[in-house]
Amino acid sequence: MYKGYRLLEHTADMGIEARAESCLKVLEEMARGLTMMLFGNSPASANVVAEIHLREEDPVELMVTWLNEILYWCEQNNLVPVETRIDGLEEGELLATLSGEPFDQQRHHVERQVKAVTYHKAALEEASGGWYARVYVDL
Amino acid sequence: MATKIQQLDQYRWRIPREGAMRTDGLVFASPEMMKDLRREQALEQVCNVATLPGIVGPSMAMPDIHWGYGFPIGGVAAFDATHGIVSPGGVGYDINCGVRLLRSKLNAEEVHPHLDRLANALYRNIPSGVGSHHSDFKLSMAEQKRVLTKGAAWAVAQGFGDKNELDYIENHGTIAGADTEKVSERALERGRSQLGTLGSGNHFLEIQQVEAIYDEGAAAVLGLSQGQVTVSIHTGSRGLGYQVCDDYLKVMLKAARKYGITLPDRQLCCAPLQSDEARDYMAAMACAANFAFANRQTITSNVRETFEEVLGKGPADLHMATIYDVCHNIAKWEQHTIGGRERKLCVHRKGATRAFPPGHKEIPAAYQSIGQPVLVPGDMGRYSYVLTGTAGAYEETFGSSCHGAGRALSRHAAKKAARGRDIIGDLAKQGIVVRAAGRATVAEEMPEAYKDVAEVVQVVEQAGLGRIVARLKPMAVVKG
Repeated sequence: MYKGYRLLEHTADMGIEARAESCLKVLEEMARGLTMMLFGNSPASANVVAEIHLREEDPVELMVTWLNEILYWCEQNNLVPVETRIDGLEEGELLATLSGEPFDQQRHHVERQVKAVTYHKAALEEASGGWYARVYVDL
Repeated sequence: MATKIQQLDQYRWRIPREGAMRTDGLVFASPEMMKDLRREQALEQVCNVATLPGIVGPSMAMPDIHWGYGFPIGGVAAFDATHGIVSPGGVGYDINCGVRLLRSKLNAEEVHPHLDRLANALYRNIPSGVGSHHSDFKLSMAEQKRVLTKGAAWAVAQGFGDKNELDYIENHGTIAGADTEKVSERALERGRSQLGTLGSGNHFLEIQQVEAIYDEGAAAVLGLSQGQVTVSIHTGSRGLGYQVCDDYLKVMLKAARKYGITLPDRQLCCAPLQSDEARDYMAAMACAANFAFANRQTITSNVRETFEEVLGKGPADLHMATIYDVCHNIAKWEQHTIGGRERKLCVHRKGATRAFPPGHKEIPAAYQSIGQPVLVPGDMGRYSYVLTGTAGAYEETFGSSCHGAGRALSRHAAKKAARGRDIIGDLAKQGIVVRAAGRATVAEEMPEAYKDVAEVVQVVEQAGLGRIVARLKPMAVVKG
């Protein structure tokens, strides 16, 4: 089983899928995939830190909310994430630390705009002794 | 999923009702387009929409249909006011994404020597790109709420355009029923500094010239003539709309469970139109739609000022007037005659344009003889089209038509095809000036990434869903 994320083909938009040993790790991989989709390999340091606390009853909805929260931080606070760390995940509650630096045209480039992470074909499930996740985004 | 498809005539394809579908699917496409469609998931999405409660008539797709999220792009579905639903996924994140077309008194020859300067100035004056914001329009909370309730009328009252211009915008630039109390703080925050901005992705601002006229009479009514310069603006409700959609998808996921609605795809989550959840969404959606109308109106004003500044001409010399402004992501209350009976329906258009016929009371008095203008952008290398609505569209598709070319290549495939090529340089050789904010955008939006919009509008016309009036050729393109 591969571990990590990969970007998925879609006619007009794009997707992200990831595999990891745990639910927490697969959600972190999805966040890395989203960051790559937004900023490519732009370098960043961790001089801005945001604490994130989310709650959703349904695990798939929690995943989509998590990824949309990252998008919000990138768009509204001009953050280029360097680390998206989940500190706690239980009973529909997700605690995370998002760290990065403010967008700087000299240092960073924008790969593409992502309007939102959608629920279309969204999946979060145990598979092959690990966890599998998938979302499609609206570009 | 193998979808059963029956060819009805050259451009109509029926997907017979089966399983959980409550109605048939109806797709407008040429046989060549259908070959491509069978390879992707858009037809399955037509079937999924057909399962939603209270759908009236078939689940339809226009000829620019392609795989979307939830609804297919190009999808049209109407729902009964009493038994039907509204689905935020059937409108999309970019609520009231749409197109506005401006005409001018200028001709291509006189503008050509100034194209570089015009493109630079438009790129500078109208913020574009990811998270683009406008320092001139950082609105107070009270002012922003007025934008959300009044739409383009707010912009005109602030001096961004003329009051008469409102007659040439779908719904006069204001969707009724907007309630700012139904919009989240986060959505308001995301929209606060984004008024007057283009955004990114497939949004654009384009200087064009009228390259061909197909219907002299209609073109004359629209004030279009060969060689004339026009400007197209394609943008929507920006972060505010995305957040409204996201907020209400959460509401509707819970509502679907509460009302026992089985969903083939979570993105189709919805609530009965008679529920509080649906009323709240319609009120919030109207706010986002009004923000989009105000956005295109303020950009229009900025375009006029930029042309005046660069060309050193006054408003009377330029005479840049709005031909029309259409929504292509929206759910609207409309009256339609079904089986001889007048019914109130909630018509969802996801990547589809309203195309009302001649004589309809909701189109401008000046266009009563020709029907509503339908603005169909193509790609940045080839052309766009102006069509008009028909009685055929009104009877068959709830007065709907196509909204664009539809993508032919995925983003990844487009980038791969663009590798090693200078897309901006290639377009410059064709006389098209491009200014773009994003490195990847130009590759992903290259002309070959899109289907030939000429084929799409041909199907529209042959199927009786619109009449082709004019073809517009790009001269300069500003991309986000």
